[in-house]
Amino acid sequence: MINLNDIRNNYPTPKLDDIQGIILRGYTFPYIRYIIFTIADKNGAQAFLSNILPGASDIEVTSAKPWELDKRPEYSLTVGLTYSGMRELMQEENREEVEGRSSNVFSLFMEGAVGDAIAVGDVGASAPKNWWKRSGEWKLNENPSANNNELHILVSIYADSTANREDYHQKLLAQIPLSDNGLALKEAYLQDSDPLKAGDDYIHFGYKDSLSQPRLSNVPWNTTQGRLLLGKSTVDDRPLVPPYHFVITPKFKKDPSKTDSPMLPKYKAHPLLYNGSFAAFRVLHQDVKAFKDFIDKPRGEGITPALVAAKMCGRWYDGTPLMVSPDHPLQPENPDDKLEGFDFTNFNYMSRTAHQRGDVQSDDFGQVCPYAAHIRRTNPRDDWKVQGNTNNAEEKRLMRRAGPYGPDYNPEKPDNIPRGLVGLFICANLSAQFSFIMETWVTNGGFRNGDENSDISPNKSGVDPVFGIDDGMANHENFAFLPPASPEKPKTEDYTILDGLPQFIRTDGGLYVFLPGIEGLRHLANGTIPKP
Amino acid sequence: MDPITSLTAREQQHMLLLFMPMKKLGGAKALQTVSDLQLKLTEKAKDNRAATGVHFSMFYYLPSGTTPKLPVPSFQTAEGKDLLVVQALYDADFKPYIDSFVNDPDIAGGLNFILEHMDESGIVKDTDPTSAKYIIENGKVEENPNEFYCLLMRYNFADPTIPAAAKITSFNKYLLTHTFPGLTIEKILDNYPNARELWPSKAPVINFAESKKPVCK
Repeated sequence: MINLNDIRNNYPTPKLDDIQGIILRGYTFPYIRYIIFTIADKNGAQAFLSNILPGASDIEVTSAKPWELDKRPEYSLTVGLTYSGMRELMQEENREEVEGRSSNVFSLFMEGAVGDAIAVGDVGASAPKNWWKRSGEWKLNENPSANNNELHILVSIYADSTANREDYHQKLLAQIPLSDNGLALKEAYLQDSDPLKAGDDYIHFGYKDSLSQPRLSNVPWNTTQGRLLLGKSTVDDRPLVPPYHFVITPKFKKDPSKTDSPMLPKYKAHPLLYNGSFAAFRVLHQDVKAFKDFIDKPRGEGITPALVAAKMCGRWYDGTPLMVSPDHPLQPENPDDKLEGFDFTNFNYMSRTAHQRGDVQSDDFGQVCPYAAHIRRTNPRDDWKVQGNTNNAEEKRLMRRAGPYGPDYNPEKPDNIPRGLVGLFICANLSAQFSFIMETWVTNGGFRNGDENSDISPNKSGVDPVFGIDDGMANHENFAFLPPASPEKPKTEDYTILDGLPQFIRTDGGLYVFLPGIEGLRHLANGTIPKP
Repeated sequence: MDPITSLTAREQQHMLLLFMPMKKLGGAKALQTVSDLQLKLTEKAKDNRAATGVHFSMFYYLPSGTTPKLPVPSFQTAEGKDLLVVQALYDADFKPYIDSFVNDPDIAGGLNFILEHMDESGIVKDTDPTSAKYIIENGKVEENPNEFYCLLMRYNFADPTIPAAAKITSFNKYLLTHTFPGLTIEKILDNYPNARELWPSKAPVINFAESKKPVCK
């Protein structure tokens, strides 16, 4: 059988040495520091960007170029700019030219996370007026402004130890030039992300996370040979996602042999943006006590806390998908569970993949995995009844580079220390990807339609139950699921309804940033733009 | 059952009321296209009613230089342009409502046809990414949904944030009422007895008895 990744296509091969490394490939560094800077001096800020270009100093932005012998370096560095940051750095006529030629991908970026807050559900306690000072360290003397326009540059340091993280942070600060009024960049906000005791990739609610990143085509580490070298299974039946959904790519003909071939990608962008990407930086406070209280509430026979948690997420705590094992997490010591080759992500909702484990054939009624469940609504896979899921969720995907912040929660000693999830949600088009997913699938029910069986849950899947939302809507205050043994075509009364769903995840910070390609970063440092 | 006291944006009804400048004869062509499209969709029996959430719609065109037969100034055409008036009451927010059209290849084709026949001279530059000409020449509505939202909003008298309500407690731009707020098309299809049989997606021709109007001078 030929691995899909080995099939040649007409998609451009990503220019890995011009793309920031974190975009296409998760590095799995456990210790991360996010630093947001305010520009105090334009020339100094440009000099700072020059100083962190590859080869310029002892700390540099990491490209996606494969590592020698695939040996992970001590650290990696990612840099992003907000729209207000680009306004600070760019000449007005250059900026207007870039905006004019990049309207598809630029319009929402210009609005920023504050402007898009209502659409993505950042209302009530999550509203922007409450951001930044509740979680992490706000370092400016002044309070955050209403529009957050003083937040210009986001730098992420990924390291293999806390000592290295600190070391590279100091090296980074050393690259900031002095200007007439002090340092050219001022630290405005700082947030660390450290692994929890449960292990890498676990989040405070107890789930194993980061299990299903998009299956990229046209990247060397995802070919059969690349995966074998990495010791990874080559079995992955999921459709391929072209990199241009994450890396801004010039338009090309889908089929060069045909004059009337459609052009891809759908967006258009100025060359300054090529090989760059956009990202939503999110600081998501997690109310672990409220989550545990909700999960642990006595629910009646057979409805265990673990089952409630699994139905809310779509996976058991250990990551086993309900679609693979509807009634228990897979146990390695149980020979019946047949874990060999199982990779947590090879499954569908409507029609089984070729190598899907377990006995579930289809889940059109949401009996196994509720439509409301977090992983089903954020990545509906082959569920073609989901609004906007026109190409097997190929377009509506995100690269998630996020991890926990704050100490482990100890139920024996409840505290109010901020803890949650922080990171980047990366895509080429914030509007078509991040904002769409949040607005249409996460914060709103009724996204599945088409026939009388589309979604018969009492609240039309309400809001993502792992999030909850503080908006006073009755339909958002409960979570409903069906027992797997419910009839062929369930009725509304077959649902188990869990009332009193509170808000578990509160947004404590948000930025929309542009992650330039290396050449784009060089232009921004020089105050120039490439010619179209 | 308790009465409904909260409605998510998805469940609300909102109004669209567009006044679109069209090329001469463009209004008539647009109307014909909409009519043909509706026929095509009903023949295809593609049931997009819940997805689009349209409760009713009205399309009206005013040829260049003419006025509606009313004794007061009302709809007006700009010099040398037709006017296309579009009104609808729809479920959900503006973006998912428009997306449901843009994501349907048949309907998107109709939208592009209308944009090709718009005349935005003197209103917005052709180089503006939200202009009809720019959208048509740069991937059409399918590749420019954000720009298309903004084009529509330029001519939308209605405010997509005002929900149709049974009890109005405050208003600014206009009053929008609805006898059954929150009764979405999807809920009607799901809950009205035999809705899909009574109103199949492949709509039959309905024999409408003659309606009457008062006799007035």
